Amino acid sequence: MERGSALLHVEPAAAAGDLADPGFAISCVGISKSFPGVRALDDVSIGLRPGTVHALLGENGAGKSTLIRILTGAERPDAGQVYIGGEPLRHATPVAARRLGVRVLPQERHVAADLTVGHNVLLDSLPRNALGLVSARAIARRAQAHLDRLGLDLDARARAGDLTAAQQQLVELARTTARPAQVIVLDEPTASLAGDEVEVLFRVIRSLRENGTTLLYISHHLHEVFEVADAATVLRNGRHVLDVPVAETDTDGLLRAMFDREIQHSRLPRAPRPSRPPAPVLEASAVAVPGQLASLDVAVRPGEVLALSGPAGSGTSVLAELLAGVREPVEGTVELAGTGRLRSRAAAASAGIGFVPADRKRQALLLERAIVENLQLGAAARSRLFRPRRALRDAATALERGRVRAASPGSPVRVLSGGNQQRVVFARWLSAGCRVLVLDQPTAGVDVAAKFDIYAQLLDLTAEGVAVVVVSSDYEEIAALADRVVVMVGGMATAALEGDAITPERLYELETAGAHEVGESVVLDDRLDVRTASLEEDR
Amino acid sequence: MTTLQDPPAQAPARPTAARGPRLQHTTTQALRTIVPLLVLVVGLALYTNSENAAFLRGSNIENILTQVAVLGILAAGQTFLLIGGQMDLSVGSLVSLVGVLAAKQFAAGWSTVAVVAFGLALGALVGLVWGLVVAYLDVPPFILTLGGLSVLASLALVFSDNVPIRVDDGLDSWGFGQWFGLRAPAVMLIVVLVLAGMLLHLTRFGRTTYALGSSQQTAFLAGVPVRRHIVLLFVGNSTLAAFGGLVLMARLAAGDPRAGSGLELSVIAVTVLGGAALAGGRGTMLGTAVGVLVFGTITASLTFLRVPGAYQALVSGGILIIAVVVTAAADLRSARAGGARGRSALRGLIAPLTRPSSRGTPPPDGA
Ligand SMILES: Nc1ncnc2c1ncn2[C@@H]1O[C@H](COP(=O)(O)OP(=O)(O)OP(=O)(O)O)[C@@H](O)[C@H]1O
Ligand SMILES: [Mg+2]
Repeated sequence: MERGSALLHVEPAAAAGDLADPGFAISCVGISKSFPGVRALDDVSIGLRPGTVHALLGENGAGKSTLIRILTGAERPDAGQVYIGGEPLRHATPVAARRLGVRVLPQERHVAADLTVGHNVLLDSLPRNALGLVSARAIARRAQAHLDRLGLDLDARARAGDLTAAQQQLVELARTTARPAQVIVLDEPTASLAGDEVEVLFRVIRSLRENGTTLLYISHHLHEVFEVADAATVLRNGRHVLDVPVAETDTDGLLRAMFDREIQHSRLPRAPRPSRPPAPVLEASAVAVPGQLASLDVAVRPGEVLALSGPAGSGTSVLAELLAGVREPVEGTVELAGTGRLRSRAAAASAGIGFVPADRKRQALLLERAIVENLQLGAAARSRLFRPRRALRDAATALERGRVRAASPGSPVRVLSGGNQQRVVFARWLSAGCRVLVLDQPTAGVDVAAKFDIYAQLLDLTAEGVAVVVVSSDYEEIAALADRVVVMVGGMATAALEGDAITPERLYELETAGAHEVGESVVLDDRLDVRTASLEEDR
Repeated sequence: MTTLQDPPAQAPARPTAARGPRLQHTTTQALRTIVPLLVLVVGLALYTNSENAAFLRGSNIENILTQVAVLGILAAGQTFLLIGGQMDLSVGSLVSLVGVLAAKQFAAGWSTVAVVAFGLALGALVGLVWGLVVAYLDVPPFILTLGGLSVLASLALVFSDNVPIRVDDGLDSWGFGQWFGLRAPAVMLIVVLVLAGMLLHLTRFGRTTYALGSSQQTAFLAGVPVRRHIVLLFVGNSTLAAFGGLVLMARLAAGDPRAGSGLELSVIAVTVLGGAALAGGRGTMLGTAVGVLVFGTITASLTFLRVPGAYQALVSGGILIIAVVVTAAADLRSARAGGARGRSALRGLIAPLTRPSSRGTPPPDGA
């Protein structure tokens, strides 16, 4: 579909009467919202038919999260009106929206780590007995029934903090669906889910739709849109550019609407590799972490992209942490050429090993601090003195080089959209000048264009001789990027691929075959909490 | 370079360099706390002065600075700790203990240099213990230093046999000397605040402290030697507190085992008043300096206005509560407004203050 005709799908000038009609489960008319220096939403009007799944698409910073915060009463628009079931949302508060039957699964995870899974699921509707007391047993029973109904393989009595990020995401899904709702909003629910878990999510979405619930679904994975959504709305730069039934469009049509230009999205071309591979820059010999990683050897060479492929809990993240010096292996050694054994994360960082952790907000950024401080952090802070003027100037240059879209290096990193936040993390290591860059899920929550932009930046780095290690559960990503892949299942390396043999289909086959092979025999403890583990410098 | 395409049309960002450096939001945030406090100080001073014209005389201002010198020196160290997400409640007791031991050593004929060196070393040692325990055993600093508060306070009483020890002449010049035309403690206060401000705002050490308090995890993964930094923070703070103890001993001309009791609470109060967050990651040295000034001005005003002693704590506590509530409310309102309206109004208010120098961090120029 061509762009001009696509634009015709926007309901013209949003006839206010139409969108307010009770035929829509939720709708909004003429919504505008500005933040200092940014017009996040500009006269947006959309309406969702009851019992449909509606995808909301757009590049990073297009205004998707802002729009759903407004739809769900979490933020007040500068102009415009939200209608829920035809009724205007007068006091724009989350409670008011909730009373009208709107529930939301936000982009950021909110799980109370020290409570049980069951408690987390029923957090806002704890069952009470006649005396008004809460019973742990009743919670567990009710929550377990709900989890089973959703088909989630989770124990209601487990501690939520012990779950993987993906499992926590499913706990939040269970919470969002714990009470009947007219409208459910899911903001990037798949950003931290891998293959199987996405299937579980889709099953839940479909059964909700069958029961008449309306869903608003945000994702950067377009194939998911074609799998579950009935209609799609595209935002670009805060403006509403396309409304289309999914059956009438295709990936290219959506991409064109999102980015207003052609997006290349296949394996990237790369410089020819030297015929004789250079000596490894980083080598892990017989490293093992009981319960998480079975003994294996890995060598990373300058100028290559080595991918570690596997779902959460497969040991890929653990291996990445070992390679980055975040923790020490229980057995075996990790050595950096010319430096020797990695003693601590700080030593590894100053010896030139950059690390981009999976959890951007908690592990990679200081959300409340200025962009400039996020750039010049740790090993990237070269000079002992901090000269504010020069720092801001350097930061501006780094932002330009890292193609970060930001009002000023003095604004807090929190106000950037997800993709731009990720670029700030990259820019940090670009200016630190590292020899090895280890990345864990580098493009979670990043839009398609930004993703390929990031890949291009990574390949630029390899051209300068930097070694790149990427952990990913996204087969497309690995196929687009990797020179070599190690496929991991259940804490063991089960296969390796090189060059053109790396295709999404082959990776999928290998992972399933690996899972079959490894079967029950592996000591797989997938309760791998990266967040606590990584602070244990010594162990 | 590889064969990568890098089409200009695809570069999504139209950044920033062209616009040049601008004021950091953290600066605006800090000024939002500091400006109302300054208004409070000036207002209170003018009112008191209208009742008693001696208040704004140079000698009285000097007097106020001397009164708050020890408090301010301790607050400078505590500012680092709070920003770094730590806390030290044992500083008041350390002040007493250092005072007592120094007085005893003077009595035993130690030289001034030896006494000062001993006092500072004792402080560093105490800080080292706190730092190591917090950094390596992950003990919450609140509980640890609360225990430390009791232990050090008790040691001060034990070493002094429960009575103040007179010092006839030792460190007299620290307590009563005139340096650069000002009383010595006032000069020390200013010097400490300026140096601490430079360390906090103009060095990597200072920026790392902010990072630590904002997210220890992020700092760690970015390559900050987190444990070493925590130890350094505690060592620095306790050394500064020991220095405060020596100054107080000099001013009292005695090692009083109760001289510093309760001081830790005032220290934390003025630091938080000046914008430091107990949760870490926030605060400025200028804010702390103004917080100290507020405290000093209130105390002095109450005396000048002849407020009966029994009411003084009521009034000073009330003013502190109002100040904190007002700044918190202003903060909340601007956060609610998403910045758009609230912030532009505030920017109008503070623009005249910030225009002459659009520097990235608040000027660390002390009191
Ligand atoms: N509280 C805020 N203060 C200032 N600017 C903000 C704030 N929240 C959002 N913005 C800005 O508004 C724009 C839209 O942001 P929003 O989070 O809605 O994007 P998004 O479409 O959800 O992006 P992503 O795909 O990265 O999640 C961005 O430019 C962002 O920087
Ligand atoms: Mg978003």
